[in-house]
Amino acid sequence: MDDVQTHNINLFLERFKLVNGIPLVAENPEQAALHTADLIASNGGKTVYIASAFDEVLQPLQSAAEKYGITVYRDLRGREALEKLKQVDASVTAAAAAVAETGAVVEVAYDDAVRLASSLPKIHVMLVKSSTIYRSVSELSSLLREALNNRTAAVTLISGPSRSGDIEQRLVVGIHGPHVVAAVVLK
Amino acid sequence: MTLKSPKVLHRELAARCNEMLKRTEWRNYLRDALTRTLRLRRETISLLFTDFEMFRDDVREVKERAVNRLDEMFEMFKKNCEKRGVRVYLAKDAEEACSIIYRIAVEKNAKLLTKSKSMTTEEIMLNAYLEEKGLKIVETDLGEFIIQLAGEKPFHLVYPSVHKTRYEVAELFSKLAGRELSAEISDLMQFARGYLRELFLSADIGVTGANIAIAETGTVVVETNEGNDRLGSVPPKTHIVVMGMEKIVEKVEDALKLIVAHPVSSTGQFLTTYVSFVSGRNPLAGDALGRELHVVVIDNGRRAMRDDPWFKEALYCIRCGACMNICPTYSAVGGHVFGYIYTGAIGLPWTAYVHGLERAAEFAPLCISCGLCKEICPVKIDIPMLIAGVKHRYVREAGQLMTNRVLENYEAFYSFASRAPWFFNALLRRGFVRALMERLLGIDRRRPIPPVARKTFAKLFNERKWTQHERRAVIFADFFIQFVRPELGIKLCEALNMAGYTPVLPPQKTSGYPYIAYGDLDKAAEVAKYNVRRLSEVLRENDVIVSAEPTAVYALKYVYPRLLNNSEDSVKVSKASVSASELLDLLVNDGRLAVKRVDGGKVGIHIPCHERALDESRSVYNLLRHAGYEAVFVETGTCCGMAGSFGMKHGVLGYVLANAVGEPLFNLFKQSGCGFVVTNSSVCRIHIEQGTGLAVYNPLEVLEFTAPNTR
Repeated sequence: MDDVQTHNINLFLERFKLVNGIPLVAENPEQAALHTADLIASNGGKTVYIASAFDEVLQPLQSAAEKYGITVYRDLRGREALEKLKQVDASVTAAAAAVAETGAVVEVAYDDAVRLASSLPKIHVMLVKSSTIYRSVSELSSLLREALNNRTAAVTLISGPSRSGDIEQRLVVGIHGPHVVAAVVLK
Repeated sequence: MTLKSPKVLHRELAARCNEMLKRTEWRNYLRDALTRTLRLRRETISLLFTDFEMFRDDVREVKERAVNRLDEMFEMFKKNCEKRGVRVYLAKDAEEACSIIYRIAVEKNAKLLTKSKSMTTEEIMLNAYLEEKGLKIVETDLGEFIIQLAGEKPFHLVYPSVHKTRYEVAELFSKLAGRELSAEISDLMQFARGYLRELFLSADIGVTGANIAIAETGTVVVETNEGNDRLGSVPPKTHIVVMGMEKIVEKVEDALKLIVAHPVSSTGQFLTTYVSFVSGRNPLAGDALGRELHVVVIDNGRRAMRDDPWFKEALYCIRCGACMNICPTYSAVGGHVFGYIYTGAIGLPWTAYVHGLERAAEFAPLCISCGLCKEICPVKIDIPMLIAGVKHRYVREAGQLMTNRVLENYEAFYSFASRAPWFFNALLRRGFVRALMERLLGIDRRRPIPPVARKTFAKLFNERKWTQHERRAVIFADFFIQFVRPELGIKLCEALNMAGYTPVLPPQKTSGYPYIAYGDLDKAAEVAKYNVRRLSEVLRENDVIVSAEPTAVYALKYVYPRLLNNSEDSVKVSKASVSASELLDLLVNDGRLAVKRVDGGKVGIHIPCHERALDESRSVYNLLRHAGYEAVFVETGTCCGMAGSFGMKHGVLGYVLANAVGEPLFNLFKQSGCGFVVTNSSVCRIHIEQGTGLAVYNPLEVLEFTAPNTR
């Protein structure tokens, strides 16, 4: 890993924390899975919906969830998926990229179930490959163009948990969306 | 609606302001809230940018390019949306936009709609329209939800409910819940989350605004911190986006600049928490049946604005609300007085175009022409001149307030008074004269009026013999030096002469800035034309035009070119103009002049608003430090409230409001431990001296300039 990439990773971890997110680093897929399960369990989560995950993390994630007593749901369709998303405590999604300077994670969704997964549950864990961390927002143009080439697509930059300052401008997190948002950076 | 007369309008606005000014605690709370966002903005800029000015230029270029091709952008956006199965509509006005949305709702047999914060739907008054037709539409942004429950209009573009305390919110929510809720903010949020969650999941249609749209891809970009746009738009089968035409930019790269410019300027965030680029309508868990996206694009005066050269740049606005956060009078009286639906500085030109001049005229006098909105705008919109344009159109139709006419003609008074200064100064000291002036002319008797000097600057200047040099400094004296303290002008000329400049004084008038402040743009242009002609006649290559008054330099550099359509001479004058302190600082740094102090003690520097567009008083600081003073900036980040002649006016819309605005700055000075204050502005000094009880000086009064070898 070159110096620039190391700098980007460190900057992302620092800035994601500044936006009230929880940054975690995993050296391998097993550690990523354990971090995810541990975070969900320590925030009282007993059920998780895996909307998307990198192939290498999927199996370890199932095992880790089992170890922590967390029930896993995935590959659901239609009404069933929507109903489950309303009920689960946590969700996991795989990010397409992240932006170091602003501490944002990039979610690319060709199905809106992914967007609901990152909106409805109280805990949301995003898996980020360290090689996809860009320095600045301006570097996202190619990724965006590629995603928007699809007939339908929704690309969302997520910077920490849902927040509002509308009452007396006092910042409170978790108004409509997740209260706890973590990014597990997979090296 | 017909235009009200200036007198009626003044009386009504003064009464509304008076009510707000009684709420001192509320005012402090609002000011603290807005000041906090300004501080966060500064911190975020320092973390994200090495050259923020260049970024502002880039953002302006993006919007300028798009607005220049407004119709083409719309057609490109429409074509690319339709390729994705999205229906796009162009509504000429609010009525048509509302009826399109209603027709979609009827077609979908919808009963319940949720809405994510959108100023454009406020502009077209969508809620009232749909409710009248028997539909239920619920605001889901927490601030808008509060406002909807209270039956009010948004207070601020970005913070619609910033004026509501948690106790007021608890009362509103308790009524809705049918039980007593605590005033703890986290409890109130929990209640809103639970209540709105049910509505999100059962709504028939989700309505959102759009912060940006991308023509080349047919994409809408929606930014929310709460995530309510996602929860509102994803579960229902139908998503309707309502947006103004000016939101369309050409490219993906353009949009990526705007998503940064917006939060940085608005709330001081790196990015808004959720920034969604939506292209077409995704399936939901594999099910695409009946899922539709409709985009209603609104003209409602925008194309007319584009065709008006004076107002066109109002369309560059990205709705960040920064101009509200920094506006001195907005933070004193708030958005319900300083606004109609669009509030604050940029709200004035927007209101004039989308809701009518009569609406804009009702709050236009609250702009005191400090110019700070231009300095903070991420798109560098010349908002003060747009507002002057709104005032001008009103004045042309309805006439000018008498007090404004009096203040516009201060130069004529001083010019006349300088023929018998002892007589006029004696008169101005008489209580009954001031009482009469207050009653007849509207000049507040509590405000000191600067005495007239025994001889004008022009007379003193012409009595002197100046050493001739190759380089020349053309002096633009303006009011203070010409009529009040001419000896300071002579001191400036002596210093410049010593440093190798020949001072030159062509015939001239004062800057004429009050004409701009009060909307008499024809007269302002006449003065600009005269001064530019006189100055450019004597201006040779490498000459500089020097003025000790920040507003005068600001007028020469930025206002005259705009008034004179960037004529060759006005641009030449603009380029040659420099403030006296900037030039003196440069000469001291170059070793062509030495500077020493004439007094001791700690000095507090006040930055006049128009000097923020120049060098933010850094040269004053440098000169004071060079001379051996302990100097510190004392500032709130906004205006002191005097705003030229505004603070001279009698009553709420003058002296009283100026003091309400100045109060926090006065307190800072009093607590600063400074022995005296230094500022370049001749009018700020009157206000600060009165508000703090401290002596206030022009830098030329507390500095001595000598040739370097005699130091």
